[in-house]
Amino acid sequence: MRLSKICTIIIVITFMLLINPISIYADPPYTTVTEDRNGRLVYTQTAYEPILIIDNINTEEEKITLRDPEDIFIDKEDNIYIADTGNGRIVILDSNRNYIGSIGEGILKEPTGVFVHENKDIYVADYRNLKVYKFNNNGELLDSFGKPDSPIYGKNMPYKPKKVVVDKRGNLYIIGEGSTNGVIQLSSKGEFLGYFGPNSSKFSLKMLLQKKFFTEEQKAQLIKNIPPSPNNIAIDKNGIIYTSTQGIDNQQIKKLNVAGRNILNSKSYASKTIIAIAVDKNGNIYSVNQHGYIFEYDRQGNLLFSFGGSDMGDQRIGLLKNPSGIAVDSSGFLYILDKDRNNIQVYKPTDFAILVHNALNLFHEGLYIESQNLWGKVLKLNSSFDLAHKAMGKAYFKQQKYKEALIEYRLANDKQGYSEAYWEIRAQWLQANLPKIIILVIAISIGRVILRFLSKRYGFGRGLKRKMKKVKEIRIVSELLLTTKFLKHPIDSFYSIKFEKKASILTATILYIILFIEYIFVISNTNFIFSNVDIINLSIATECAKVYVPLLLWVVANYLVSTISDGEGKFSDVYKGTIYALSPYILFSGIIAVISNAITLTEKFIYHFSNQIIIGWSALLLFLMIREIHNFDIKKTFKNIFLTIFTMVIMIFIAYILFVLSRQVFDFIQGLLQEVKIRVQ
Amino acid sequence: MFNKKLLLVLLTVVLFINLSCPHFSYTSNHINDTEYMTNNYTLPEEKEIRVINNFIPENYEKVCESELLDIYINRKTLQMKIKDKRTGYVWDGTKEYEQVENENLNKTYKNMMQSPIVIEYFDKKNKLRKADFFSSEGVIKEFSNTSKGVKAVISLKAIDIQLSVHIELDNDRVSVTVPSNEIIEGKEYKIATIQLYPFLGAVKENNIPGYIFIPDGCGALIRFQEKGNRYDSPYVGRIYGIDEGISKKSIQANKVEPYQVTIPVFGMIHGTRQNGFVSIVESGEYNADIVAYQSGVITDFYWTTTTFVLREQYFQPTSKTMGGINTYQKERNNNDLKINYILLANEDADYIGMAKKYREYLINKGYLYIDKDLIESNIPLRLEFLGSEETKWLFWKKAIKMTSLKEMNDIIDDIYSYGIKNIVTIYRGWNKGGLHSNQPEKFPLERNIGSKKDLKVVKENLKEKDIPLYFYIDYTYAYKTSSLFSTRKDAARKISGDLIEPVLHNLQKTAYYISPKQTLNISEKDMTKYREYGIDNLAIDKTSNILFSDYNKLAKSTRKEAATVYQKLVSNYKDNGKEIALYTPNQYMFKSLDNYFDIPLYSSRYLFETDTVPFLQIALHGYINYFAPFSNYSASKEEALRLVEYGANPSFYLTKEPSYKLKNTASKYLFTSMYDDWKDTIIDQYQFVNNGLKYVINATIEDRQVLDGGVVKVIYSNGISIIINYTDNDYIYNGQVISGKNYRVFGGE
Repeated sequence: MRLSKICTIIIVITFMLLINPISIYADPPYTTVTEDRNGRLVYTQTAYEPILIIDNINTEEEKITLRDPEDIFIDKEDNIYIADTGNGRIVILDSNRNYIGSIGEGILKEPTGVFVHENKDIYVADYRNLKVYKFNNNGELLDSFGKPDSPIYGKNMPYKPKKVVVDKRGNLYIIGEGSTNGVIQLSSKGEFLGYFGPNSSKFSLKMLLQKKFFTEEQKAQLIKNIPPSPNNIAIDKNGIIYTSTQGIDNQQIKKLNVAGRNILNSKSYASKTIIAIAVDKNGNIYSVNQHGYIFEYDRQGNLLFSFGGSDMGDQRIGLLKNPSGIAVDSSGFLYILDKDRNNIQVYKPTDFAILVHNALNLFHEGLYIESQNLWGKVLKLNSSFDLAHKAMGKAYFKQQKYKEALIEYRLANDKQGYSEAYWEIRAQWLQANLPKIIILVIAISIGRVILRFLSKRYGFGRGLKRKMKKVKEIRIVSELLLTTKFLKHPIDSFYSIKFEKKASILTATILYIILFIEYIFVISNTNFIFSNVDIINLSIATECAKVYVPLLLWVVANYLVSTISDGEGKFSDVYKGTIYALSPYILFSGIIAVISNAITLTEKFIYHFSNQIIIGWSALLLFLMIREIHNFDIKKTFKNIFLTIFTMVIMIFIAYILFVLSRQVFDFIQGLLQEVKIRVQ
Repeated sequence: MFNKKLLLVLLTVVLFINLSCPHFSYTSNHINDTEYMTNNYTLPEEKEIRVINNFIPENYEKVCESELLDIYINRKTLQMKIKDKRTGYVWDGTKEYEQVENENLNKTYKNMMQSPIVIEYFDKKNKLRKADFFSSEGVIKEFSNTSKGVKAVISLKAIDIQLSVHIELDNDRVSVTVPSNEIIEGKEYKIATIQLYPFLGAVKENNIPGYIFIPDGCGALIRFQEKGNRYDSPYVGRIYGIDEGISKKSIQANKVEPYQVTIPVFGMIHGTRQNGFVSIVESGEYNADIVAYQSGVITDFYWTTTTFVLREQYFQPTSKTMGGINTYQKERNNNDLKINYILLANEDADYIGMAKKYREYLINKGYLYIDKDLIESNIPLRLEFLGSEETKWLFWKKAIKMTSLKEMNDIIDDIYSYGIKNIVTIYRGWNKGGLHSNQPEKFPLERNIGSKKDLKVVKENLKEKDIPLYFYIDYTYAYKTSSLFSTRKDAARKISGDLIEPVLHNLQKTAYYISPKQTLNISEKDMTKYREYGIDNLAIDKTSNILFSDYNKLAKSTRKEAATVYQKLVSNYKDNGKEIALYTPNQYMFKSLDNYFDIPLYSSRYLFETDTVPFLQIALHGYINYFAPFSNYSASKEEALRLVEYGANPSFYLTKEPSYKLKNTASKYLFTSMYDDWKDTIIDQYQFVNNGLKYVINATIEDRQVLDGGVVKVIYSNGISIIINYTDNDYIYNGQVISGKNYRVFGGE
């Protein structure tokens, strides 16, 4: 679950933009979204419908209600166990939501976690008693697990069990409050086995600076940089442990192998306020967050569905006020515990969700071809369900239908898959066409030799040459072609700009425009496996700003700095010199963009290397430009560049301040006018 | 004397307690079908005890009577009781002191429950305060008989407010009216809201079995239950939706809004098929809420009423950064306040009886009439097509073609060739630039969907097949200024002076509301164009259900005036021979309606609601042709069964092109629409629904019985009944099997 902050912000924004559509089908009070190829959330069919609420539970004698329940668990026979925290008991319902009984009354004080083993033993984490209890199915106490006395556990380490799961061998995995080292792992006899799957602590530049410059007192005031402890835990039928952690930017959900290492590597969105997780028999992961949003991921961590929402006085079935637990039964029904409303909401998977699940199951079992049919159906129902394209791509790939695979992977924005499929296609093509290519290359080189010979000997094509020369003599053309000269003779060329007036302002301006056009060409034509640009959502204004604002700042700042430090260059020289220094970009980046389309991820160094060359080259030319135009020595040139950059930063800073100030003044005046208007009325 | 009275009260109380002893819990033995025992369906009726209340205190006197009802009034306080002669049941318009003194209530509520009128007013400091007859030292200044009932002038001395209440009786109908011109306010206190006899029929917990009916979605019930989980707040539904000219519509991310109240009706039942009333707000409904309190919200009582809003509070911003003041409307909403209570007895006393009474009311008002002598043998299928939509493309905007005129023509031909001959076609996004682009400017046709000539060809083809073609428009939203629309002149403004800028879901551009008074100009200009292009029928969205007051100085209008304008707009088109279809119209738009699109089939499913009932459908079936919302998003068996049960015609939203092309447009919610993908489902679903509903096309729904959880019998006026079985198991009815997830038609043929 890796995701940079910016991505999160973008997703939050998109979330906000997905505001209530036209009354699609107003049964559930929420919309359902899935993730598209670009990681954006898009609408999809209702995946889960809220069907009913369990609140008043009828026992034989009376009606009971839950009080601040904290956890819910469903066993293999679909019996439901609820940690009725406020009432100090575990309430058990059968699969038809009828009351079976309750256990632990008198023993439990604040049960916050409940788990039922395959052998029907019931484990309960009691937060107030600081113990994990083990009951048999009849509610008789079998064992209890207090704080381990092993020295490895640490004497000062708190033991406040909140949640518990148990693996097949009977080892306990306990989530303890403040247990920052990870999940507490105990053997079936209560011996401390170690910590499991710890979170790593965050590290940032700010912290580094604080560490460096803060006094001891100041440091003590800072919150200790300790890793967050996981807040919930689940275990699947294969004994794989899943944990959830709040307040971190990535890896909110972890799928831990035996060694305690996270094996979930997904870029899908996960919530920072995650409360609880559950795993179904197929390995699909469910989570619910503080705001009542429910997320379902497949076993690889791809977001399938997100739905739900916060009950902010809406009082509508399907919204949650303060969710505290989630569980899933064998038919895929979701049970979500609400500790403010003291109820359980039951969500039923729709036909669409079931279809997606079936397709996923076949796919993960390796039955790609069988799954393809179902994915086709999914796409019929929602053509933006891009996970289907990914699966289809893989299915085609396995069948060696690379062209179809390529198309599907492109639709799914799956760079790895696309690259692999392309590699195969290219290999096939090369195999088929290699002889032809070799012949073509030979033919061209022979042809060139012959042509040269002919023109030397018989003046073949002299007319064309003459015409070319004439064209080259046109002032603008020659000035534009000056860019090529920079590649061979940069120093001379700058000299010729400065003294021989070989470049005019007009040409430079044209070049600046060409630069922008080329920039757009590059971002829109680079192979998508190397770029992250979403063409459709480009705005001309921002792209323009991205290109021209830095250039303008550079030119102005450099001119200002140079005038002070005895630079010889005029403003027009800097203006012209800068764009000519960018000749490598103008000449080559377009070509590289085109070539990138024939490159796969295995050869990505070619692409990156050539781009670095262009950048390095341009930087070098800029350096030379400053030296030549202002007639500096090397030391002075460096100083000048440093000062220019510094000036640029200052300029941005001032612009920002001016902007903020002017806006405040504007707001103030507007407010004043508005108020006057109202008062007069 | 006093002892005698006390004895009587005690007796009734004891009687009550005894009778209501058996508690009614709605968890029955059908455990496997718990899903159908939820508020998404209607619960089967349980056997209920006979409810009795015949106590009328001595200080009440009979002031008027009809063949069916007697009205008793306490002349000193205007407290009222209504006696239904059919059952002998007495409805408490107000509670007696003895009835509330031992309840867990604060003094305010004790007073309110006895009061014929409850008022909210603004005091000198703009603070909202509550008052009732007793707490504000009310006196009856004048009491007189009128031709049909009585008139009383109430003076609330403490807050210097005087108003008169007219109570009239007509057969089974009691109407309570407060004429606007007879409300006299002093200088200091200004009325905010008025409730008339708010506690009429109020019930504590489940002391009396029954329910409240609220017009949420297609209709919902709140059954009286014993103490259980408590909810935070009452149901408050603004009739005809929030007034965006005054209040801000609260829109929350990822939430689907609850249904808007489109009909001004609510009701209450005391004992199913025993006693009940349905209330229809006849005047003042443009500024009123329907409220329903559940037991546990403030008091232990269930009660429902209408809150008439005379002055609304609003926020007046004084700066862009959220600064501002809270204030209220200076001018009072000048409407008479009138509620009709129609009393129901015996077999009429349930939500079905309420719906039938409401139907009668609509017929009497001229809103419903049968004008089609044409008898169809198959139900219509609604197919909507999206022509083109605006999208961002690189740096510009362009219209993307989704379905051209010719493609639409081919699709209809194709469907037609499968024997589906009764089709209603709607074409969206035909205007220049695509669906969400230049409105209110509409012409010429968007280039990529075809030309005028193509339109002609399509029209001829459809005419031959007798398929109507509607053009989708609205006269509410404006996306772009043009010669037809300027923000200064033609855009609606809020009371605060700002433009109303409705939040458009996922549309990253500003939109405005067109001033209602300017819509007639625009529509007149459009009319000539429609004629030129041969556009005959219009499907009007948004204008059919969005109602707001407009404070644009050049074209000021209240909600009521706006409604009149919209009525006129539609009737103008009708006079020009155009057929009109409306999307989820509010009641005032029922008049000139040929087709009703997107009829709600569900309720908002509030936690306190116990049932969803097809109230709207019972009222309209047989009179108005209504269509379900699009089935694209949920074309399941259950959805199809719901259509059959609710008598709703099926609808689909289609495109020729794959829907992912719409991903970056305002139509991105349409993620599944390609005809090739949907063809089979459309045919299947149509056949499935048609095979049942074709027998009842012009019949009205006369009765509806829930036989079991998830099994419903609907009885039509032509003697045909349909039993719908939502469950997975077969259901046996009178020896006949209705298989699981299926239905069966009885009678007729």
